[in-house]
Amino acid sequence: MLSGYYQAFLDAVVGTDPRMLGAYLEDRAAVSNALVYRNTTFRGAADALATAYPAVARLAGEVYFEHVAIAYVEASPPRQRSLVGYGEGFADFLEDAPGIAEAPYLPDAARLDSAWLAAHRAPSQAPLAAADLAALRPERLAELVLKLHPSVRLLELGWNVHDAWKHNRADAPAKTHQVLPERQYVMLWRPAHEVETQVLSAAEARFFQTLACGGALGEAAEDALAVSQDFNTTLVFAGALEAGAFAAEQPDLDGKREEWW
Amino acid sequence: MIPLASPPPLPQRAGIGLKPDHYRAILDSAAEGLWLEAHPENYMVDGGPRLAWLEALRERHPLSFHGVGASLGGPDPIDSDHLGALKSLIARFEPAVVSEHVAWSAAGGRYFADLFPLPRTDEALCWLAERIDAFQMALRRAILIENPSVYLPLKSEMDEPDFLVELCKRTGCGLLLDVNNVFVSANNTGFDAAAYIDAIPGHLVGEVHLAGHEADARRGANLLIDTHGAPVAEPVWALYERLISRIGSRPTLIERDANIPAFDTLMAERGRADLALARQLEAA
Repeated sequence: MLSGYYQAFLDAVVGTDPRMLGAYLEDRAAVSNALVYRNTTFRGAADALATAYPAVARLAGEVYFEHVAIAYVEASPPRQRSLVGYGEGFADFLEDAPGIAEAPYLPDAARLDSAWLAAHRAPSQAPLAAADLAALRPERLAELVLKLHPSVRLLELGWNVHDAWKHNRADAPAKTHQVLPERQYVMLWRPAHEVETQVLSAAEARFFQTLACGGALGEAAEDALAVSQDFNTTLVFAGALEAGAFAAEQPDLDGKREEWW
Repeated sequence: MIPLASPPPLPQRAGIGLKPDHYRAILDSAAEGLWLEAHPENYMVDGGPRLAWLEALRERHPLSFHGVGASLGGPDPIDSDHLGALKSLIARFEPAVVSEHVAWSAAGGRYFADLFPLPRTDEALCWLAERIDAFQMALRRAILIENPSVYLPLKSEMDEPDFLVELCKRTGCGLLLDVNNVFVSANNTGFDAAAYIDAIPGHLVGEVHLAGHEADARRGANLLIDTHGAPVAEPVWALYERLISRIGSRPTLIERDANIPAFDTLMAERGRADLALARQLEAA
């Protein structure tokens, strides 16, 4: 009886067949009230997407965003009992969304929104301080495997949409940005409470990718130099350290401390 | 019997639903006796500012967790990821109260982010009691369950107050009585809201909710929607006065989840509930 009711309710509210639900009502005419639940369910998930993808919502415009958001909710409804992380596949979904040719950079803007949220809700940890490395002999630095901060996200985009994305995340006045199909590398991280973003060169991106994969500093520098001879390891490393892009918890550093100092 | 957890109970005062828009204002506020209610689902993240804010606010104000994702009345097994996340949040923030709903919100692994209704049948009662029992055992504490806002006149075998009282008897849970839900459901499905309020045994009520509703865009006042997007309506205030003059003061929440007003506006509404509670305490 209860299982029949669940099915009849879902057919009416999530599906489009309200016929069975009538049998469970005192007044069959009230079956149209099931629309209240239908609206709340789809509205709730679509609103969660708009919250998670504010720049996409703004760049896409209200009408188009509403259209693709509802289509996404129908194709990939929430499965976790919290909407905070809902919409992970939205960027890929946008790639094939009807009408996306009008604004082909939107999937990349969605990747940035998604990475921003991931950095925002990543585990909290203090960043590594330069002082923690001060006593280390410089010639041993290359062997060191340094963990990036747990909030770090690295993106490789097909459109140079970072500036337009950043502008549209804030409630800033509308502004025209030229977005071109040029490769763009972006790093996002949250050293304390605010999410930071930085556009990287191809060599810098390679440097951080190698570190993210667990490579030692020397290996990451070699990889970056292979991309561009102009890569300045000392400058980039010091900058990243200063910006809080490394985690305070460093098992390899703790091990080497005992061994080297 | 499940032992009640140790954190001190909520004060017999009025609290507000916690919204990120008000984090800073609450932290800066000197409001006395204020307590906060959060949806734990909004804090199911690994880290970051949200948890940091909740921590800072929890240091100053008593906290209640009002869950929306357990789907206690639903067909799916209790979600172990959700339960695990809820347990860690409870361990970390030690809320004075944990509450959930007489509703279902998931089926076939899909989460609907809404509170779907249950027919008040003996079968539904048994199922819900079994699930509340399992949920309380897993959390190792008693919960409060909230009466639903209803939009469909489901064929039922008992009145809602009887259904709720029986759930409490069978599981040892208490009631979170949402007065606005009573008003909205009475309007939508045709029962006497005052008689419903009078039928609720006071000793079961651990907390009261007050919220605003709005008329359905299509159907008008025939169908009221529990939007939490407007101030508490006058007839709901009247039902609230009727309730507390009979059962005495209870921690009372002003719930607002949409069209979030400025902090001071919300606090003025909270002040009205607080005043009613103070009068009640004086009279007692």
